[in-house]
Amino acid sequence: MIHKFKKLKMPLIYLVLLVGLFLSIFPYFWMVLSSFKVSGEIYTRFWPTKLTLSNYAFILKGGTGQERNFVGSVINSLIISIIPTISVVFFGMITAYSLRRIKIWGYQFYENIIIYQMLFPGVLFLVPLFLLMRDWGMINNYSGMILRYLIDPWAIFIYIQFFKTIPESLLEAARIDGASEFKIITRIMLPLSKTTTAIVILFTFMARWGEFLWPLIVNKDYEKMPLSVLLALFTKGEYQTYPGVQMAGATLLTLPIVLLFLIFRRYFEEGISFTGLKG
Amino acid sequence: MKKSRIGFLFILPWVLGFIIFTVFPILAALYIAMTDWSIIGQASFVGLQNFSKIFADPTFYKALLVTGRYAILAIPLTIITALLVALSVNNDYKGIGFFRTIFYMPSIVSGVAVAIVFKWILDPTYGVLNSILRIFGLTGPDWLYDPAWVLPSYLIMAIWGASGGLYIYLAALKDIPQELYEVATIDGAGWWQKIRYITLPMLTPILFYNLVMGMISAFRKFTDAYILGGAGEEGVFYMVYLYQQAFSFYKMGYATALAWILFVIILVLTLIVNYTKKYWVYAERK
Repeated sequence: MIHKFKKLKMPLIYLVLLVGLFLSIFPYFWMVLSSFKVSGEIYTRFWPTKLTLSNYAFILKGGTGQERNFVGSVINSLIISIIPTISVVFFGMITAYSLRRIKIWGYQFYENIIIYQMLFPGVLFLVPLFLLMRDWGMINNYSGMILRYLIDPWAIFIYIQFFKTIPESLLEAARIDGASEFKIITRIMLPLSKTTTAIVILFTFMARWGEFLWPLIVNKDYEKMPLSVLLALFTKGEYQTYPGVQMAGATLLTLPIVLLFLIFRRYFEEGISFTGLKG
Repeated sequence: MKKSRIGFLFILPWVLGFIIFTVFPILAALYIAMTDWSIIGQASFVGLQNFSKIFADPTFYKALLVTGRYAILAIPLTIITALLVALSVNNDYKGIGFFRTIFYMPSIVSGVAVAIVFKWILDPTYGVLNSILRIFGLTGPDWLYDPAWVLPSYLIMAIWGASGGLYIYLAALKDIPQELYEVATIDGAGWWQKIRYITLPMLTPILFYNLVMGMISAFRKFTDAYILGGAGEEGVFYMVYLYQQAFSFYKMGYATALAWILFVIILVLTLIVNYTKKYWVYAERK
């Protein structure tokens, strides 16, 4: 009896896994499939009788009106994702280096502040920061969308965790050779912290790429809108009845993230299990 | 240049950022919450009037109800789902890495894409979900278009995205000493007893963490609720209400007062969970 059950157990588990698999990817699958369907068949047929690129053509031709310049919005998304990502890595490293390796006066105090800053709910900042951006003339331009994200306490925090593990002898040797502190960061710390940096880059890029509320608030200019906001307004607004185009847009929004995830899966798993605090 | 001076130079950008983007907004929020300020024109100081207006506003209670009810149901549902998923892939069967990857995918996608896809999946007439129900001879509800079904619609989306905690659970499962299971097997424990008396108690720190994060994220829920809405104000979550007050009606003072209330709610919830954790969180004795 027991023997029989053991034989059955394997296929049973795979069956459960396959059901889970189906449920997990079905919405993606349906999204991608629908983006290639002609309008009529999105409603009526699951399997299309013919595939079309017209939804993508509609998006990628740049739009007749400025209101649906999707190509521009992809570029905007890249701008407001890549600049903060580079900046977060840079400032994360030099701040963590100063606190953990140079151990400037009061470093433990600063580290505590960083942890509080990381955990503080940002909801409270929404209106004050919006008013600040307005007073600084940063409404409807890239700096308003980017500025507050240039430094991330979370990145400083995980660089601090990693820098703790690097032996001091390595740095001393470099200092004796006359390397400046900045050179130590670029020549020693950066190559050593490849994994940490990959994690910081991935998570920061993904967070900025999917960002919605902040760019929605500080930018009303269609020409500068990131894809996430343009697509949402498109869907809510006068194009409610263009599901195929919406699906093509959603696919465009999803694709880079899925690719990044699949390519750098190892860093994801490490990043999530060793910081836990992001997300 | 002296080392300490360079060190200070290195943290200077962060210090400036901290003052401008954290300290200043907190102080400003204190003041703004006590003003009547419609974006154009001057702010006039009104003391605590915004708070008394909020507590007299039925829409505020409605938003609290929508959010609180969602949190109470969504948190256990997502924790159980994530735990089941983690347990089902916590083995070394062939191809299990592939399953893990796929199971995690729902939680990496931007909220905007998820909202748009579910808008069409949950469509009453043409949606996939109701089409599937029709195959079985069932008539599906109107989902987001029926006030009674708005909450279940959001719960379906929450469960679909529940695997966000997958890798954290997997890491925690890996940390459970295998000897415990071996001893239990020798003592004749079945799989349910092992889960009940070993796995769950050992996982409590991570369950606690997810409980707190779940509450905070329920109260911060915005993107999908803003895009999808829901019949009869049932989709007006707290953050959507706050957003409307601030950026549709430009009531800066009122919205900031709402943000302070939200801040206090999150703080109190976190403290409660933190205070009670000693009764149910397993902590390894040092």
